[in-house]
Amino acid sequence: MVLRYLISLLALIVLVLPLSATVTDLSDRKVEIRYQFNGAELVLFGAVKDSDLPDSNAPYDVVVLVMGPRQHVTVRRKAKTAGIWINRDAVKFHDIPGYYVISATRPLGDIARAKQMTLAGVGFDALVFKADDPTIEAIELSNFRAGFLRRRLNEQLFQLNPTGVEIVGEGLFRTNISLPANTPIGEFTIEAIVFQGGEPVAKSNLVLDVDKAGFERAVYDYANNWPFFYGLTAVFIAFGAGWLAGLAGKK
Amino acid sequence: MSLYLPIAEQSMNIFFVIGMGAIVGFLSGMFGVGGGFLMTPLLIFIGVPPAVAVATESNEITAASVSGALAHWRRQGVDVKMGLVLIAGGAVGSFFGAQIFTILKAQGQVDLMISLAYVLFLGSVGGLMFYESVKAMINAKKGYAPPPRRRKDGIASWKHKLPFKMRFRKSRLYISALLPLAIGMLVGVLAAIMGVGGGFVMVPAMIYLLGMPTNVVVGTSLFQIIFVTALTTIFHSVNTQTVDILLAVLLLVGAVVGAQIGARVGLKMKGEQLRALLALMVLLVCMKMGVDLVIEPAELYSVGLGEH
Repeated sequence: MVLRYLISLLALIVLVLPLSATVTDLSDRKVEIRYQFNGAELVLFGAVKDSDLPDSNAPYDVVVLVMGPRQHVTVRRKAKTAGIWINRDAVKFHDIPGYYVISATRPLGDIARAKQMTLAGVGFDALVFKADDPTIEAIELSNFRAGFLRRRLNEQLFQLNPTGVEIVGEGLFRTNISLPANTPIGEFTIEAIVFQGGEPVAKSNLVLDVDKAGFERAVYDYANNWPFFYGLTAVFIAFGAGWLAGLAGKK
Repeated sequence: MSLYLPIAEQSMNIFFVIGMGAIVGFLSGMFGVGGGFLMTPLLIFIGVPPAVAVATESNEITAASVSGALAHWRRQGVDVKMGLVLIAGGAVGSFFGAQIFTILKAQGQVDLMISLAYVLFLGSVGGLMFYESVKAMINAKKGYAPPPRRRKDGIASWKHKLPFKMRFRKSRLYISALLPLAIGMLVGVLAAIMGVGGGFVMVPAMIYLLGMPTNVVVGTSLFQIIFVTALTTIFHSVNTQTVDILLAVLLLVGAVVGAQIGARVGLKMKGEQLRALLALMVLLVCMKMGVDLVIEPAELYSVGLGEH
């Protein structure tokens, strides 16, 4: 916690960013998960005003960072016990984004030094993995962290797209943001950071709302807020359906 | 066309889900079994979280059993008194099963428990059934008829010493209520942790242990399954919010149609052949689950949400 505040504080002091040099907008400010939801594709557009950059003639890069709502996660590791693979060790991490996608005009290493990137809050290294259990060994912590990242990358909930941001020309850029079907719901923050000469020089922020809506929202709320009546409803539906099927079978 | 399932939190092709329901329905109609022990593993194999698969399947079985029990009811094939005693046991079993389920889910071990339960029960039931049906087929070829099994043999002595005797007119039995209570309880536990109706355990127990006449066995077991799976659905909804109504309804639509066709096909096949086939399928599912437990998984790490 403290470390993260320190990093953000440092970031604020070191880089007092002119906010006006870049602006962004999204094709949709709100994503609704409805019955046909199978993931969503959004387009982020942005503009960079060359004249407001420190060096209006030098080339620049754009990094777009999309972060989902923070979650508490339990990472478990299977181990062979009595001949079968079962979950044995577990580590809990708090406040890890449920979605974390980095897109850039070039591979991050070409844009700025790793330390600079982390300072700007970009990259998996910028995520603070603090285990619930303070006695865990550093090597184990990094094993669990790596396991978590592999899983998330595999599920497309974490992505690294080194050439995901396209400069369209005339200071305009665009990138696609793809949300998989199992995307977490909540408030997403989108940051576009302009880098020049290995340093962040401009930044803009956006907020995206992802939420279940309509029937999906109603069912989900019902199940979570009124679980007993939800169960009762499920049973009534089953009785009704079974009775109907029985009638049909009689003929 | 894909459909987002609000509780399973994933998107699935609607025709695929209905088709799966139809195939399992077809098999259950053909073999005259509930199908839960096929559907729950299938759901797990296609990526539905095991906890959601078990709880949702309970809900589907309720519906399937209602339609099945109705048919037996019309033919006077339900011993209501026996059914009620079995339900009483089932309610207790289901309650404890759901508690175990909830505790293990919080510890990240529910998937393991489901797999182990399947390997154990499907392995033994499938193995026995396969052995018995192959023996019957060989005997039939040789032209040998096994001597008729005597009812109430070995177990009869201790069975009749148990207290709390009750008269079950429809089954023409005067036995201790403890026996059906215990059977019901075991089935209730299985229903809650495996997402099955439990007919594969209850039916043999009713015939061999209780000595019920076969004409009321299936109807009475379906009658019990209706209420025990209904209770299980409610317990899982309250404890873990893992019942996906939408998924259950989709599976049901397919299963209803499949079962009608399956029942017609089943009539044309011989009993032993049917049972051998069913046993093979049970063993196959069991093997797949067993292999998944033994083989080193490609990814050892998994991520769970929201636990503190």
